[in-house]
Amino acid sequence: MSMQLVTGNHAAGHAFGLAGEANRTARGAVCGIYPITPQTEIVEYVAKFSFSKGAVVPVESEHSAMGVCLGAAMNGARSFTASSSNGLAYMAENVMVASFYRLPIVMAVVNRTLGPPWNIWADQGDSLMFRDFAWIQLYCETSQDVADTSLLAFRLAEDPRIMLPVMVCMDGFIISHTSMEVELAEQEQVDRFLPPCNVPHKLDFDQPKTMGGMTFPQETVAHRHELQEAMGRVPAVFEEHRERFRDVFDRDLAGAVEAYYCEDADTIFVTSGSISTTMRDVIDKRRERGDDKVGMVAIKMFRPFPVDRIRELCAGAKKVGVLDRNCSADRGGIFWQEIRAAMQGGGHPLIQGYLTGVGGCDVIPKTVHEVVDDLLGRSEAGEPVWKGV
Amino acid sequence: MALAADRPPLKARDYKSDIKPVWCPGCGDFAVLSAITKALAFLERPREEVAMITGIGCSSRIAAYTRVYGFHGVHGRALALAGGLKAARPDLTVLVAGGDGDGLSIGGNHFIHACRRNMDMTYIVMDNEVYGMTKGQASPTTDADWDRSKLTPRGTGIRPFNPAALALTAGATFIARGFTGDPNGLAKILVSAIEHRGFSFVQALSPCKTFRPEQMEWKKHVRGFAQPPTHIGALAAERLHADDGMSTGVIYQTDYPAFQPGGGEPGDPGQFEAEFRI
Repeated sequence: MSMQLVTGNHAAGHAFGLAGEANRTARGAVCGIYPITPQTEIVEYVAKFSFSKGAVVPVESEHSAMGVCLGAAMNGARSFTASSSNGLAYMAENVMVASFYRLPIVMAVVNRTLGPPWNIWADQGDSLMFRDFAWIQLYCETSQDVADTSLLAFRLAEDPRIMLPVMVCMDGFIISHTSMEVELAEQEQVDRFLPPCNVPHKLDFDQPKTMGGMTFPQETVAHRHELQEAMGRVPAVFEEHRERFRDVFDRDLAGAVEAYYCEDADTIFVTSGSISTTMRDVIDKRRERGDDKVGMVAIKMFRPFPVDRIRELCAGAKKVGVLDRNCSADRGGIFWQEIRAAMQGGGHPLIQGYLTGVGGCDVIPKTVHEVVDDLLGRSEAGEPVWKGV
Repeated sequence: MALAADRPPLKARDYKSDIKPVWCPGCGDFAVLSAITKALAFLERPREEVAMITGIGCSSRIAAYTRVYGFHGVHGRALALAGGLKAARPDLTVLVAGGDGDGLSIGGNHFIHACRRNMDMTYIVMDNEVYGMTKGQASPTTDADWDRSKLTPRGTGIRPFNPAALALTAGATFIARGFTGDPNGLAKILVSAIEHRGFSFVQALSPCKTFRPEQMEWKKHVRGFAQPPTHIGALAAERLHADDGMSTGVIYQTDYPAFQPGGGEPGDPGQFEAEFRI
């Protein structure tokens, strides 16, 4: 297998195409498509595929693109789409339907700042607005990560123990439009990796039934409880499928949480997306100098939030700094909030939030060095520190 | 503050902002900007009495290029927002502008209901039969066999909308089609549209030089409607049906009371609250 120069968008589109084709022995593939910057290339890539069984359906809005996926998934088709920013905001009503109907739809999200004012650059605020929608959310760091995670997403979503939709997220332009070295999968490998999609509650001629009828609170609370239970199973099932991925593709796939120099670190930085790459480089520089015992926890899996693993990795740290490319007005960075909630209990480290790259501001090594210096010099936590204002 | 009447008359350029449009050279939308500003100057509308509401897309950038109240809204929702503004400020001249994607695709539902509601505003759709801002995908006015979009490489296979016919069916009370190759003619249409009391729909044929260069040939095919405007819907429908979409001018205009929310007898919240007294 050869290496290619591939953007994040290309990687997602390629994975979706192969995953869709791999379901030809079952009920095929359906992709509802509608363009929006910076994800348009993904759906354009998918539109190049002629699926042996299935269809690419161009529609008039994001709301309808997800609607197409819902209808197709109810029939057991492997269903996927992609969107960004305000497109997701408009799609929101149907996004919720996907998880509440337990349909294993996979959606690539190219993270872009929500408007107005209009801005096409990276900010995670778009996908993070769905954090309470019972979707699995995976944030990728490189094009290779997008290619691999997109394939794993189908396996995870369609696992009978899970049956939840998955968002595969990447920073707009920084990952979506940057060419990186990628080992792309072959159809034959994907055929082996992905079993035929089987939605247990799909349309069945012998048992016609209605989905989504009116329910009373007692039934609804049971439904929400099931969603909570399914989410709880995700980290272990993710690891199982990661093993299987290794078997088929002969390479590892970035984990739900990646630790970097955490063993002896007294100061740990929590990152996600492309900022993890920059932080890794900055940690290397600091470690080369030898004076700062800094480490990193790079989070891929935001929903479910891998609390146990994060607590374990940060157990020995005195200070934790969280870098957020998003801001929940009033509460600051959303990863920061989650980390503080995860670390609650006696004796937790000092936890400081940093708002880096909000609205698409560049997070360059200098920015990250400033964050590192700030945390190293701190004796107590304070309000989130804004970078770029 | 000087009263509007005391000020020197404004010229078309006074309605343009200092922001340079990001449109491609040769884009028809330049001529729409020119026609709108000419119409406003002709009507001597004070700038502070005009609002320009737009959605998303190349053409929707026009709000920033005018020097009137502007609101660059969300994709497809300009008409809903304009309805709120007109309800709050019936005295304003409300112009709504956008493209065929914004208005007929993602915003199609708002379009038909705005026609039906018949509030006093002017809606200009710059129609180039393509999504320009996302780099050339088929829109609801694109011919079914246009195969140069990466999203629909085999064509859409779907019949296009006829925007004027759609407006007629949905209840618009002024319907016209203009061409950006004739900005003066378009400005005249816009003057009539703005003066019309009710919902005015103007389809401006506006070529996209970048993604639909063949539209530069439109100038060879565009001509005026052979007949004057009619107020008879069935007649307008017949003419639109027989037309190839390249005839310009006012097609249909009728008198029907413009809808303005509010008015009537004020309610009595006290009486309502009394029902809950214990």
